[in-house]
Amino acid sequence: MRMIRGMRGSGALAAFLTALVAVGAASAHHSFAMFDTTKQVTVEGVVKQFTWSNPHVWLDVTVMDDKGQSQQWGLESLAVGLLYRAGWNADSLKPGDKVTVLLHPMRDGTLGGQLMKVTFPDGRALYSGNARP
Amino acid sequence: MRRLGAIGAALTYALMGGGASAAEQHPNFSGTYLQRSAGAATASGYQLTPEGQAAFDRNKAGIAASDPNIDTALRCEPQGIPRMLSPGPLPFVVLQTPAMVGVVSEAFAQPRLIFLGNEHRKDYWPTYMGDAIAHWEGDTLAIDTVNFVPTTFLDMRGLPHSDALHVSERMQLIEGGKTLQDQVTIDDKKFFKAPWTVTYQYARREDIKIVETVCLNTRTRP
Repeated sequence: MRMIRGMRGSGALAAFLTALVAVGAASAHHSFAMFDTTKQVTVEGVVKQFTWSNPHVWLDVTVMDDKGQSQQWGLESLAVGLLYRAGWNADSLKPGDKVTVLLHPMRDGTLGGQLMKVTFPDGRALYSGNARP
Repeated sequence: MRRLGAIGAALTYALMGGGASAAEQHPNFSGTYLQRSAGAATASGYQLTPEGQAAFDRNKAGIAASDPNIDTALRCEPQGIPRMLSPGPLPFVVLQTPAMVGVVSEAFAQPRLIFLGNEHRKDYWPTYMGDAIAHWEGDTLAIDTVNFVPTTFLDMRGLPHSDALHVSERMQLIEGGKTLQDQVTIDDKKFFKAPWTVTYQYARREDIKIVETVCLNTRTRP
């Protein structure tokens, strides 16, 4: 497993996602100010836990860094209803699934962030609510 | 047809003196809706009193610290009125009978009941939704809500209210029934220097079936 850091995606997509967060459209529950929406990070790892619950769905992923050390990434998504209407369900992810995750990282450097997209080894992708490009 | 129906309803309303027996002639708000506008997230024009500003500063600090004792929605307490009137991307259902208008929001599965009538309940206690009564003024439902718990926010930024909060709404269908509009006036003499108004619009979305949304997860950060 490897981790790739850095700016990714088109500028238009990044601007669109930023705009969504800016007007509070992405979450009716709480501010997402702890996430740096100007940055996108991609990590590859294995699903540790998928929590299908409200107010927000959470995905915990185990990632091996370049030195072979295990890292735990906590990823906050959106409400169950939003994900359901975007094609997700309670069985979309299971512990042990290999995934590539696109996220907005935490501003304070904590391993984790706002979940934007999950891609499976066969190329299938799930988008987190309004994040669909 | 709809326009003729509206004229007919107005005539009936006038001939009957606006009495409750014309209830079946009123617009039917029942349906599923999704918010069009960001509402209070972009509201301006209000002026906080010093006491209100102090509460706002305290709330913003609590939000930044993810403190559930300040932002009580973080521990799954209902957002209440008027915050639930701006649910962003989460839809809600309106169900109307001659005696009441009910709202079930996918956000926190919050139930709101607005009872047709002219008197607030006696000896009622502060609640998240407040005590809501309403009457028809033509095609507009005029809603009057008081008696709120003081801990809820007016919006997700933590705009505060006191126990003096009084919310007046004028709810109507516009654009041929495609849009439900709610003009919300916030009157809180302790925290705001003058009443201020924000207007929300909701698109009718019969293609959406809301899902059960019980708030259980109190995790606030990675």
